[in-house]
Amino acid sequence: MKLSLNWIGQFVDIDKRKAEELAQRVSVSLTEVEKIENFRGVDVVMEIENKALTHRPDCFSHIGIAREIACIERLNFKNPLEKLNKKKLTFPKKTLPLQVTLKEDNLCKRYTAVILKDIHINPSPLWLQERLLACGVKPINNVVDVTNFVMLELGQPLHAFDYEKIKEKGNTREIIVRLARRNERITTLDGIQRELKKDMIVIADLEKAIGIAGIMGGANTEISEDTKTIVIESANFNEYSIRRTGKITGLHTEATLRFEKGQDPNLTYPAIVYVIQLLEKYAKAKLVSSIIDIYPQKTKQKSVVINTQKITRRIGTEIKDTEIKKILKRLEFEIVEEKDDQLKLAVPSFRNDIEIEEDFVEEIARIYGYDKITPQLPTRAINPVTEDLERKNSNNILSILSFLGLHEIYSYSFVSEYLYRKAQLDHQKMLTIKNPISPELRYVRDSIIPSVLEKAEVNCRNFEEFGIFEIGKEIHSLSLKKLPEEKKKISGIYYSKNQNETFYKVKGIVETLLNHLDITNYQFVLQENPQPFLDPNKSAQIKLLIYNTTGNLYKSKVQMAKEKPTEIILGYLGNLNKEVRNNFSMNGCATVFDLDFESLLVNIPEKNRYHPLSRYPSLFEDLSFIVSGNLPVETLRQKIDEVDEQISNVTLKERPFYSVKFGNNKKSVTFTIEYRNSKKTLNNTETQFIRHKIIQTLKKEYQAQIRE
Amino acid sequence: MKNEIDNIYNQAISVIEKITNGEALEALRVEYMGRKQGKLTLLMKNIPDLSIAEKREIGPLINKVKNALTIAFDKKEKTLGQITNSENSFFDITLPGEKFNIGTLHPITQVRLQVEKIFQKMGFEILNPNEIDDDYHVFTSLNLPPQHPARDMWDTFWTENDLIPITHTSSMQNRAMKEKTPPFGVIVPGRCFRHEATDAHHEHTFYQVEGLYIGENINLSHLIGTILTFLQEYFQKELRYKIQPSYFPFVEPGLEFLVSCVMCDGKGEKDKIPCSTCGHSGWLELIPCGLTHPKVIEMAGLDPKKYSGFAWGMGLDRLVMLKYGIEDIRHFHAGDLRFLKQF
Ligand SMILES: [Zn+2]
Repeated sequence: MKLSLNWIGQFVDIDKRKAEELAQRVSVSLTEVEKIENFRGVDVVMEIENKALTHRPDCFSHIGIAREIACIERLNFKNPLEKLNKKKLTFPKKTLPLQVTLKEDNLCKRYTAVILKDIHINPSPLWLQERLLACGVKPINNVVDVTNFVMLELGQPLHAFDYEKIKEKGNTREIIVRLARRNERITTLDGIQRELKKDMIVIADLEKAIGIAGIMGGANTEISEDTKTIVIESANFNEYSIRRTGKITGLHTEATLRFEKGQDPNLTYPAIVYVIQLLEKYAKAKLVSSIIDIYPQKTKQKSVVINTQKITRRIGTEIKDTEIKKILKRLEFEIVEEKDDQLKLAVPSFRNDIEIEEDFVEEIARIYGYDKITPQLPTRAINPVTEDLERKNSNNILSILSFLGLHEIYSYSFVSEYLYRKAQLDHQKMLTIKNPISPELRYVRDSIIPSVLEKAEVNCRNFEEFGIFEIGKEIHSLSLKKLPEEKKKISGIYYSKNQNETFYKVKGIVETLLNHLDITNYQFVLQENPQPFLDPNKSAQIKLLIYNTTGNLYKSKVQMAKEKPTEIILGYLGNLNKEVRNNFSMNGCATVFDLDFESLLVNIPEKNRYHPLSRYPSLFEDLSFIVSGNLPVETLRQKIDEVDEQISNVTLKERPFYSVKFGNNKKSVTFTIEYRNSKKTLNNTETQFIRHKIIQTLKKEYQAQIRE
Repeated sequence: MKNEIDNIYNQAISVIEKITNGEALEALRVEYMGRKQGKLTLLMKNIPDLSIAEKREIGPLINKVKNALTIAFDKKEKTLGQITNSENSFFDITLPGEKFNIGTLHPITQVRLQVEKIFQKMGFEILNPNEIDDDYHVFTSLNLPPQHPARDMWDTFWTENDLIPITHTSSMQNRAMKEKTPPFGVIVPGRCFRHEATDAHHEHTFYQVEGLYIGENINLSHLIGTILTFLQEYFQKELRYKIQPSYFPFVEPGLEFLVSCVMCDGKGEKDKIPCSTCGHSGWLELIPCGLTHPKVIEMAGLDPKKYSGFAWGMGLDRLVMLKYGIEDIRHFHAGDLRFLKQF
């Protein structure tokens, strides 16, 4: 909002030359001054931010700001309202008829109107035009300019109708404030025809709407050059209704700006008196009615009891009662009663924002000065802070993934149908946004994968090989009545243009992550229903097996193998199928993974036990087998592991390989076997015996041939 | 001609055996197999003049010899090489080390972790907000009942079932007060949304850290002290601060916490060039804050006569942009590794 310092200077004795210093004080005590500008060498314009004044309708006027400045600067405030309220007007004997009817008095708190005749429509005097221009308002003619001028000075929006254009019936004319009728339309002053909604307040005559209340007048009663007789409207409308109408029509006029904050109903009278005065002088207008003033329910005087001790305690610094009282007086809060630290304050009608004692913390503190408060930290018992294990573990996950070479990305929670289609996913279960910015942001994602693929596509242009991941939320709308389920996921992709297989890279990343988190009992199994974007033959579900460890902590492998563990699905990984790769312009191989964050977190065990080091040495031996190409290596490895208690570890020594030497579709698999007995040193005969058992078992179960 | 070829071969083989250094070997290779004047090369140049029968015989023979000599030279080079390396081993410490590809965390994650750490050290707990929440938690419980004019201050997305992709992580204030026993301090980092078209300076998806402290006799000095302590810890320098009135219905008073610009140290310019970070003003408007409104405390089931508190919010995006001088906010969600690999 732009303010003229000349104008403010009429009410408070400020020094225009020290505008910068004034601006700094206004910034810390009221609202930020955004700009100080010289206006044509005759005035200084101060532009202030409106946001901090959202609750201060009184500050949308020069007198409101002048009152504040007087308080901040400890200067005298010359209030023009007093004079206007007391002004004696002489009313003519012969008047023109006008009846005002409020159909809905809760929508219109007060309606004040007057009729003026013999109007000479002319340009306004230069000084008045200058005031308007300084505030960024374009001068039009004396009638319009005067209504704008009074609004800028006092904060009361006004409107002028052409009296002759108001429907006459039975020798009288009537202004009715009512709700819009079904299918009612009006062409507003900006020339646009608008359809009215049924909860909009309109100003009407007996036959038609002549204005949208508090927003804009109608073209049908507009002042023209030939206008001789006008009706001035100075009214007060319900702020909620005005706000709603402003939003629906998209009309944010100067009037709306003030009305939607809730103007002081006591302003309508002095404002209309001021308009009469100015139009008598500058448009040769003559009063031709008394002041019609419909005010069904006078606003009550509000009062708030405050405790000055409590106020200073909340501010956190000592302020003397005399100082507090001085500030209150300057802000026009009247002390009605006083008892010890208790003050009963009468709230002026223009301060509709003041309701409770806490509101005075701000009033006192801002004028006293926030800069006078000494910063302090709260004190409390030094109880140890509970360690946030979830944070610790999730930070751990982040650093492991990045150390394994993946780059973290962020992508939007909102996705498009098109993106889902590219990823061969169904978009229909997703929650939709009613008011999206664009169709690309219409759905709330229930999978992170499509966004990850989209980001991979971006990077394929610049990089031949990379891995990215995102920790984000899947939103699953289970029922429209409830909050959706939010599932945190770790989703990522590894892409390589030149490597022909990236599956094992990603599997390695997942395994390393799990191992590092001390999650050990996991399994990769072929997915029965792989996600539609995956190659069904190259996708695996990641399962966590939870053994019941109550009772015996040192269960033997053989015992464990018999027990049926609880299975938890941690997620999956798999290669993108060819179509999806094409959809996202990927030329090489790409493997995605998707892990459930919560399942991971809750299953991270607390390491609280170690395996005693064996006092007897282990013996190591490599064994190679030739088996069918279709036999999963893990099946073989587990089988070996179960052969004997004294086999303490079985690991794959090298990648299996195929050769015609072994026969059709046969591969060679080599394991390193560790033999150990915790009670004695094993000798060769004993290991030979176990080895024989292994060879026999594999031969029997899988027709495996030992390779010498 | 055939004899000549045989001679060249025998000669070469016997000389190769006697060679003891690499330069001599290379000279010999040029002498026999050099592309212009090599003995074998010169012989090959004669081939076009031969009869067809001779061509059939000599051509393959020369090739055979050529291959044999190449192998001989290579073999000798290898043996010589091994001798050289082991005898005169120069250990080149300037060679690059083995390459490990290490990933990166998103800059907003990095700054979030930093902020969390500071507040954890100050005894604050961390809460996670919902990404989609209801009207009660996003607005009503924060003294913003339906139809409250100040709701316009937030540009809100709505889902088909009238839920809200959260406009601020203040959505956890009510829950925090219901769950915790004062005195307590929490921070809530999270992803927020505003209905706003995206350009270099605007994003519909952004990241906020909300803070809330509730206790007995909490006042403005505590609010100022806490925020100032955090900011000085974060920027690792002494900062001047300034407080301006603002308005948010869930605090009373509503304030804006400004600090001296960290780029120009509050001077408004650096090396006589106006500072663009603070728009020449020397101040950064960083943290909207205030004392928790008694209605907000009451709605969470606590007694506002007994308890008071303060709350603030700050943008992680802003902190990251300030730290690295990032000019375009769109980089954060572009997923472009050329950007992300720098952090
Ligand atoms: Zn600066």
